[in-house]
Amino acid sequence: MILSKITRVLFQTTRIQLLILSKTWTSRLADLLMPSAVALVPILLGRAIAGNEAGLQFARHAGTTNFAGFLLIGGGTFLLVTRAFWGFGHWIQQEMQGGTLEILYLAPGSMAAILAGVALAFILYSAVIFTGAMIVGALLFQVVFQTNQLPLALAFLAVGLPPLYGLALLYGALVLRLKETDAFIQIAQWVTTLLMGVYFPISLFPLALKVVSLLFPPTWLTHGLRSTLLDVPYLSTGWLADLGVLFFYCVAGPILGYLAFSRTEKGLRASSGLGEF
Amino acid sequence: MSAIITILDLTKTYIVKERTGFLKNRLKEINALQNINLIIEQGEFFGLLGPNGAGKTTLIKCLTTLLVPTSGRIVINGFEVGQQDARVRASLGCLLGGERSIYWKLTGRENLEYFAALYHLSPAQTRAQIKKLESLLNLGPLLDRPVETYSSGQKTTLAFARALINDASILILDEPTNTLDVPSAQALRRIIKNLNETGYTIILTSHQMTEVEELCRRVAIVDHGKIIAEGSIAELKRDLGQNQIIKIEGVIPPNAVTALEQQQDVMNVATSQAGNLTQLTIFVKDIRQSLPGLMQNLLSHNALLEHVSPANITLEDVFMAKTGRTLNQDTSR
Repeated sequence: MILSKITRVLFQTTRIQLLILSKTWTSRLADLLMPSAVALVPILLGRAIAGNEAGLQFARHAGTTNFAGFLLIGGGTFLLVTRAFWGFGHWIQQEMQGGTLEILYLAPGSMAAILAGVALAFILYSAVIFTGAMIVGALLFQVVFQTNQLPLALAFLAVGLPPLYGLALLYGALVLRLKETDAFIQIAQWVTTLLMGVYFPISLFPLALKVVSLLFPPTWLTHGLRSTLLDVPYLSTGWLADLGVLFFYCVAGPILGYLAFSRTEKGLRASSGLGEF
Repeated sequence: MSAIITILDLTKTYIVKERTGFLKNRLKEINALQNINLIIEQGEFFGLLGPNGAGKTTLIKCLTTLLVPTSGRIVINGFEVGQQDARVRASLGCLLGGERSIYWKLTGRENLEYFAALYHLSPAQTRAQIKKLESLLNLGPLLDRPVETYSSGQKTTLAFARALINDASILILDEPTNTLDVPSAQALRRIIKNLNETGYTIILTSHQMTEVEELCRRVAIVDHGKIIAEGSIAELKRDLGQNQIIKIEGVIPPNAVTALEQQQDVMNVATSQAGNLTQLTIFVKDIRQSLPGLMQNLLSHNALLEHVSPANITLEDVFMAKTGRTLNQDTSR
């Protein structure tokens, strides 16, 4: 009975969020084109500098000559990460500004179920838009992906998305307390782009930065997708170990994120009140 | 009748940072609520009155579990706030924030369906409740349109429907008619009154005296975090019964007001500004006896008078008699 109530709150929240997303179609179109836009400049720059040798030069460090595909996947996972951050951070800020966050807290429905519902909506949306964006990018840049490992790529995507929402919840806790998103998103985007290797392989990093990068779940997601779709060597010993690391993040990330979020909630309930902007 | 809301010794102290210089802060305590004791009976229409910053919103937030009190106890519908919060929330229907408290990108029906799910209504219960609200609030033509196409009054009506979606017997309404035009406000007041007559317990916060006088049977006046007066509207007015009121408007220098306050037959003077004009509400024992002295006193202090009239005692006068201020004055600290 309790489980069915929680499930209903979760799925109704997902439904409502998807409905709201569907009503702003221009932003959805921008999301579809974003990975190609992110990849466009470095692809053209690579071709301008190295000409026909670009692929060979790139392969020395990245393990593939398909640098357009490499950048396109980087752009795609960057979209997934920014959607998680923007999605969640903006969701909380908009709920606060719009006055609906207070109303959500007035209802007996569990906030954990609401947050899970919002995350599920963004995960479903991101998965669809990522696939669409890869097809658009592949057509635009005439990139050929390996499709023989497509199920494994989808497994990386499925296991790699929840940890992003763990990070997004940590970020959401910050927004809940500070009531501000934009400056943090700028910083988060810059750090993310750097750490997860959107434009270049993380093998180029100095050791310390490489360690930090490997602690960051999107790095494993990006690399897992590149390994499966471009035949780049895996970060560890093979696909199972890489997927295992990502699975660990998949479990630990959302738990840590929720703990941080509920701690912030508790603090706010005792100090200035919940849902206030 | 039995108590449906019991508030015992409720205190809320905020700790805020006060800037004292560049990168220098000092922690400051603000007593938003001080030892509030209140009992609201089942089926009552109870008004919480007070100027902005008096503590009404803090009290509402404590009642609705959005804010944890520093000390004290609240029991709502038999459930303890702080220990049985989900049950407390299920017992309440709240209209806070008016038209802001709904999703503008969605239709009215989508909004109501979502909030019904958050209150654990089954799909069948949801359909029945929406149908009931559709006829109660005349929502028919609105329900399948996006909220962003609604007028301000229509948005508030939908927000009110949202507050009723769980069919709770206790309604907390925070300034429900604030953004409405006169006919819409009247219509909403009529509906609220009817709901009370059918058994709903209603707590209304407002700084509109006429609204409170029209609707509420009992009132608590809150100022600086304390309840400074409580009782039925008739009782509160009766407390000032021996007083009579004179309202004077004009260009009145501050020393003239001070002189009035020192006049022996004057009980209290409340001042407010309306543009260049000062409005005085003067509480005296007997208008006939005091008026000549008042006029003489004011004129001798170079006051230019525009309007002088006796007045009936209103709730606003009760507040002014207790605090020396009008309800429109902000007391945020």
